[in-house]
Amino acid sequence: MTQDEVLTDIKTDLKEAFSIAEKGTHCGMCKVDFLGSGVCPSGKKNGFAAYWPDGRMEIVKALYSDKLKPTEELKQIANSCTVCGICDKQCNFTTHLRPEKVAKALKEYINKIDDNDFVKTPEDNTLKKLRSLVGEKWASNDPAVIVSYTKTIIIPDAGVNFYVVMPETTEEAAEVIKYADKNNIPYLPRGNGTLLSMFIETLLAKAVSLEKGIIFDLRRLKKLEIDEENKTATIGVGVNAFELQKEAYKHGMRALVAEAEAHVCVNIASVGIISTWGNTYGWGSDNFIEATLIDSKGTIIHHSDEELTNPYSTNNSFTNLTLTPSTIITEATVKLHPIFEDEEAVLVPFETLDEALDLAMELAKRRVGLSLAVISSKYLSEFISPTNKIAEDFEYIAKNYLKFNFIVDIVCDKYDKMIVEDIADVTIDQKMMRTLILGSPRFASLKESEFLKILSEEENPLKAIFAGPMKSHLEQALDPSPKQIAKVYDEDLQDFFEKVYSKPEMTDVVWLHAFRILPSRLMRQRMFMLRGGYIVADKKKILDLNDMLNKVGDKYNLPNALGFISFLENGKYAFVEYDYYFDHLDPNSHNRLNQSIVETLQLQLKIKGLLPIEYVFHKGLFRKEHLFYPMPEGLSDDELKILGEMVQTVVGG
Amino acid sequence: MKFLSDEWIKKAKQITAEKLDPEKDLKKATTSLLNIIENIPPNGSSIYFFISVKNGFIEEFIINKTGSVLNKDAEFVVIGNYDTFVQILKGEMSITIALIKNRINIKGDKVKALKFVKPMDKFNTCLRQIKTEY
Repeated sequence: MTQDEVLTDIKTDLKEAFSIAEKGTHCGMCKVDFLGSGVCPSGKKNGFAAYWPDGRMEIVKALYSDKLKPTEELKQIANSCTVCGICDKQCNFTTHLRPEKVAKALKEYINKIDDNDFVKTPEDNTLKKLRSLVGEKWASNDPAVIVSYTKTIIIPDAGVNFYVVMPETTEEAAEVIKYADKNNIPYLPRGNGTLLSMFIETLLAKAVSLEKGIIFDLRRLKKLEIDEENKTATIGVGVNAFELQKEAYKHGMRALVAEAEAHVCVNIASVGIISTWGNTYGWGSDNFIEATLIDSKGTIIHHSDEELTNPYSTNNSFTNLTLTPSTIITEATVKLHPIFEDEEAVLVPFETLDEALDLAMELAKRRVGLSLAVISSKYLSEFISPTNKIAEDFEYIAKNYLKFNFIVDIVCDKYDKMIVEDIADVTIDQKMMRTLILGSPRFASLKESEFLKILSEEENPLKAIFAGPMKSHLEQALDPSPKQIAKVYDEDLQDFFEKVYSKPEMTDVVWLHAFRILPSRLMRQRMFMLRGGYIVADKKKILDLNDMLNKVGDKYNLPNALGFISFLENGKYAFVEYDYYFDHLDPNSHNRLNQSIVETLQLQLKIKGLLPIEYVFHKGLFRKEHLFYPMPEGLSDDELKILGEMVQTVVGG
Repeated sequence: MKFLSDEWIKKAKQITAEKLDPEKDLKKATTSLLNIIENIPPNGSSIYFFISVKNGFIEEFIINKTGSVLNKDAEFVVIGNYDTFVQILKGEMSITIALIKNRINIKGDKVKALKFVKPMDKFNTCLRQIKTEY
């Protein structure tokens, strides 16, 4: 048989692995030690995405689709997996997938290929130079390494005309940029790739991705130093939110961070860190006191440089749309905030957004709550439920029986808690949240139960279940325990998850807010796209925006829901995240999503006082005062026409 | 012919004058634009490319390597590197994408500049007819 015939023959062995791999959504959690199980040893040692579980998934997809031929490095990649099972634990918690099967299938596939059939990728002059700048091991042009970055910085079918570099220092990165600039080589940096993976699924793919050139994988810049005296942390761009928060907590402090997997510096530069903690900690430049950047000529810039032209200035004009960064951030010094011993989470459920906003906006104005947000029952269900089905049923019960569609979600000290409890009729406390988290499978199974039917006939079901006599019945019925929730996992993982859920932090709502390990569940075998943005905190405007986004989502037959609404500037501004969910494997679903993005962008830009999320991208290094004061007026018809033409060219490439 | 060679420049002037319709293609635009193309191989030099149009008619079309056109009072200045301009001229990347991706910088009124994106696309499409060796 020829080599091609052999490869075709053994390719069928990858079929099951392919079907797992294509469901992956690059949530990035396999690179975060959030379960205390460690991370993939091969990825940790070798760096490139190809050596991590999600990179292997892209490799299998490429092999199965005949877009990749076996290379010598591929053999090394496949065999570097020790089949330790860490990835299965992490991925199963987040997405309910088993990536180890993919890694095993890849190993088996590779071991069936004759040694002489592996291609050695030649080292060209560019690679030689890049290796001289970052070290032999940390630059590659091997197609197996390149395809592993598909969907997290390059688009599918982009080919393999790329190099990847993993610099260890700002200076090394700057030298690479100087070389790239001199030789007209495009480049683009990447953190964990999660946000990029979201946008690459949309019509904005070409605008956010790299078409050829040098991929900067910044994972090796791992500096993490806490300055206890000044209450700051200096972090390299390779440090993720979980790592920073863990270190800050060790010192009794807290950082403003995004989702656990997000690289903190990247998140600062990209969207300024949008968080429910923004109520107290602010946004953008409120939280960093120094940043190290590299400009397009390879010059290293420090924000503290005295001769620097105002680095915090930007504007919110509709022409100021930037979907790739103009500089590469490599390091930042961020503020750390105190943690109080009496911090507690209090959740206040509501049937309508109108009512929820009344409370949340009042609290925001009074600066009550370290963390404050309105979240939807959809968000709550997705976060705390271990599977999609449980989340779906949980949400159904919340909406249809309990009549709670929205929750005002507050993390506060005991004084603020008294204020909240004084205002609210019903609150869900930490104990009840623990019950709901550990009891979520049982709670979901009550969907058709008499118990819920009786409850729904109560005058105020929320009060009855969370503040009345039925509270203890619910607690008993759910039998919340680590053992119970562990039962939803595959049998071989149940012992592990029982131990995981036995850890106090896994049901500690304050900890979960600070470490943000649950939001990645929104990418559980399907994708979502953010809509909304920053808006003046006017109740009618927020309600109208929510209604508009709901209508457009429904029009394009996309499951949709409010995510959360958080506040800034003593309740003067709100950030509204509204989510459109879609099946990333269905082209029709993509098409409908893309239409909805164009329509909502145009409609949002007409609203006075709203800055759509797209206009927040790559504005995080600036002062919010420049971006939000004044908020946009809303576009004229003439400007909308120009924008429409602009969008058309973006769609066309 | 070699991109930005004297022969190419001559052909570019000729073809744009002949093929572009002042009304249909250039939308009766009145403006001036200075493109600064940086990092031209092999020695990393720059080329300055100035164009002014009045009511859709090309009045001036100057390409030089000395920077003397910097004295011209252009309404817009577009700066980018050689590879980006090549990608735009080849039709591999639109001007808007180049702008959004920070591959080119525009100095001047951006709202007004965006109105000229379509005429500029026509201009580039016209230049694409020249068999060019990049």
